[in-house]
Amino acid sequence: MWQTNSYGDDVHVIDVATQKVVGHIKVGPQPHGIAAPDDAHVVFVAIENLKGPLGELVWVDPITYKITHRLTIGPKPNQIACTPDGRWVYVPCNDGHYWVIDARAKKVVKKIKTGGRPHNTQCSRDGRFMYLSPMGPPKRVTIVDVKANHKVVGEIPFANSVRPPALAADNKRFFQHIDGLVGFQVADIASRKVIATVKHTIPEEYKGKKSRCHGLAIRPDQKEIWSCNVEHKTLHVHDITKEEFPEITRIPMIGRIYWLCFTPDSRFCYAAVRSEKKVCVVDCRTKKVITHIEVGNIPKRNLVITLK
Amino acid sequence: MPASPRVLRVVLLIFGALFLLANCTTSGPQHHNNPLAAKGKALYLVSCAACHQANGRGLEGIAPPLAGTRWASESEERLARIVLQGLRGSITVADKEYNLEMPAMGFFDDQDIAAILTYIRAAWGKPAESVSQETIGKIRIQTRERTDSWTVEELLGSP
Repeated sequence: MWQTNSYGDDVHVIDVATQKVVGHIKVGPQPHGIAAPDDAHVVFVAIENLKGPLGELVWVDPITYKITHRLTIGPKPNQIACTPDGRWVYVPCNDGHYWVIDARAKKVVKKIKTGGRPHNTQCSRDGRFMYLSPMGPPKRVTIVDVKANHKVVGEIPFANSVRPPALAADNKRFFQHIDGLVGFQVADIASRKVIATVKHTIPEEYKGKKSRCHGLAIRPDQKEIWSCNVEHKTLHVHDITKEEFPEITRIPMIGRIYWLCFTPDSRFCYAAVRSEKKVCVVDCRTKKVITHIEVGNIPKRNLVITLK
Repeated sequence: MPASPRVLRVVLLIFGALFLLANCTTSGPQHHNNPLAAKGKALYLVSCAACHQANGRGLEGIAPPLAGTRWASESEERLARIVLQGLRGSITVADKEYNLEMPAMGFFDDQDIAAILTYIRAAWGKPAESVSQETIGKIRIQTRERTDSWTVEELLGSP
């Protein structure tokens, strides 16, 4: 499991078999987004570089932990996505555009204007579509056909500024955190319409305290969606096999959580507890916290890769 | 018929007033003679303007305005805390609520933060006062144990 430390300059690597830190890689100032192809022959990390005018995309070898390439890109890149074959990387930059990188040629091939503050990105399992979730006024997700020369083919409007998303593996449902909702909205991708607004159950001790959601992920077995409720320090688990998306349980966290990911076998969830500089490991079956792992400064985005 | 000296005086007064008014309503001229503010402007444009905008008016759903707000014109120490440790949670500015996280910028040194805040105040807050490097250093020491970002409630309880 690779954990970026968004106010540091490094990434921690954790072995999911032992839940121990096995690697520590210096990548550059304020590493933010992370993505990898299915075969994990490379890991891409977006360097936000808050102090400078431009960011970077770096290529990291997951075996040697060496950086094999650096590409200067637009300002302050955030959460990236790549196609399953690793050919295309979409990078949301703070210039109103998603930058499209040809990772094979190692160059920028296109910039897609979404407006707002480009921030989050999702790729469909088949690599055909990219879903762009910019924060701010657009209040919509832009859908791009990767194979049609990165052409915009649709939009899904949401009720408010869009935040972290999640995408079902069958490419039918799109789940989206939005501002002002402690919960998420669900869109039907085919009709480009929101079909449900799902609210989390607020724990009694936090009733009346404002919060927001940041970090949404579908368990690889496609049975549950897990959502980070930041200020209420709670992970909410919902059943996505039912159209009402009922909440199954809530898992209290030790601090404010900002992102999460799963092992491919759906056994463990890793939640980045940014306020405690730790990663919380949760057993997905029992929904119990197993351990906490010390990482770096303000951990946010994370990702499990499987070395072939 | 040539204008009387009295008419000329009135015309000059009107032009003078218009000139002063123009200078007071734009951010530029107020910091032209302040090298610290000029440096701060360059840093602001790189690291702050994408969210707060070059004109300080903010961006809906992303970052609140600075221009014309109490945050720019009141406590410089409060501003220093925001830059050093960041800001989180709900904040209402100019009747609009924002609920995002401003990243900590403590990686800037004291002089750079002083420059940024001097520019912000020169442009949209208290033009006559520079923020000193010493003030930033003092706040950095006072808050050195602080690892988390601030909330509005905490900040409004501080000087």
